[in-house]
Amino acid sequence: MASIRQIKHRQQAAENISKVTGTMETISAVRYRHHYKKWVEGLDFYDNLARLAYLTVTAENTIKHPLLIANDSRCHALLVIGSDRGLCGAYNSNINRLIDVHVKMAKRFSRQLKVYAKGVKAVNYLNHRGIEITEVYDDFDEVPSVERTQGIAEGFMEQYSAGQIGRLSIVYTRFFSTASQRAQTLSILPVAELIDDLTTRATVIWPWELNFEDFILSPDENEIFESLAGMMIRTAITGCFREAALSEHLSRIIAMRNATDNALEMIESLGREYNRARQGQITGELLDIVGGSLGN
Amino acid sequence: MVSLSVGTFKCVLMTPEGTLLDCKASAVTLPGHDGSLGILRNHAPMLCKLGLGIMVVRGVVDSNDSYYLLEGGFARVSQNSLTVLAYDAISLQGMAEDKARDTLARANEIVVGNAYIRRQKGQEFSSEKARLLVKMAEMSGFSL
Repeated sequence: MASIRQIKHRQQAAENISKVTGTMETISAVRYRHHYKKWVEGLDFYDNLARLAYLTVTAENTIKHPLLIANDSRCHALLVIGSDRGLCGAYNSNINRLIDVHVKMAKRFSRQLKVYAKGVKAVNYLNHRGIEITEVYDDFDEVPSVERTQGIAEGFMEQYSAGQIGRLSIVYTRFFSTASQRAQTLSILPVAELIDDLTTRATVIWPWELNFEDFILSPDENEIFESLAGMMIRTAITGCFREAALSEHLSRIIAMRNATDNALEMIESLGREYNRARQGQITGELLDIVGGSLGN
Repeated sequence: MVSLSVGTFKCVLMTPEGTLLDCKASAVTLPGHDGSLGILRNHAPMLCKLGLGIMVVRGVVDSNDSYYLLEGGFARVSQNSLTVLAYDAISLQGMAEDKARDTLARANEIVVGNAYIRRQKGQEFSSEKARLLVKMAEMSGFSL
């Protein structure tokens, strides 16, 4: 049986752990609320963007744009969004499992993979697997600014238009609701796949009251589509980073809450053990005194 | 014809960060990709690409005229409803007073071409955006 001092030390250690995990939970809760507010406020924007996308793809004169059509490049770009810190449950291991799937698929279909990464944990895993990283996004925290997103999006669009990449996918943890988040791959380019995703996730009622042909267009449909595609890609990239941050903080809140609860439970059981040991020690000392006095 | 365009219509301004404006207005001026664009009630359905410029919302019920500096996006007009989707929108009226003054001061520095300050602080706005910001402040009667 452990001594009283050992039990006290363990209890102190559990108390310290509960303080650390409690603080981490609070920090993640504050960040989660910040991102959640922005995510909710941006939903209307997504819906309206989906309406415009739906309108353009249902035009009678089919729009033919390089970003809409699949090209025959054997190189696929993969943007992986992981977290900078651990202690967030299975968040990073789910992302790592998806990376493995993409690596196996690329090998199976003899495709080259160009990997872009965000988050220390994702970078560490890619290095551990010996996968070459084309670029690490470490110049912003969680969600990129408007200008930075524009830079990222334009870079990918240029590569796709030049035929350097045949697909752009983002591996991230999608935030469906507070009760549901899942690691998944979102195809951004060719843009037709992104439009599919936007129109299926939107909460608007289809079909819309007017057709594409009913609108006066300024400039022409091809230029409108080009700008719209740029906007969709930028919004989708920002959305992925935002949802990944949301999911990470929610995972950490849950993990840290469980850790705090477990620590409190341990403190309670160690308290009982401590009292029992102390009582045993007192009883032993009393018996010694009584035994000694009887002997005299 | 004139009487047809008299009255109000729904006007919504959205950015990925949230909805900045949702009101009934009687006239809106938008910065189209090729020049300014006026929208009144009963405008024909229209889909327009926007450029960098000032959006003016007039005749808002129970409120003053509103001014927004937009940087790209789209405007959709249909059935007396105008929806503006913008990448980024700045409104001095919607900012805290200290922040608005600070933003305007920095825009002024860029406009007057103070190279030293620009080099020290890093250029937050393009010179065109800074010029438009100063113009918007003048239009909305906001001063330092």
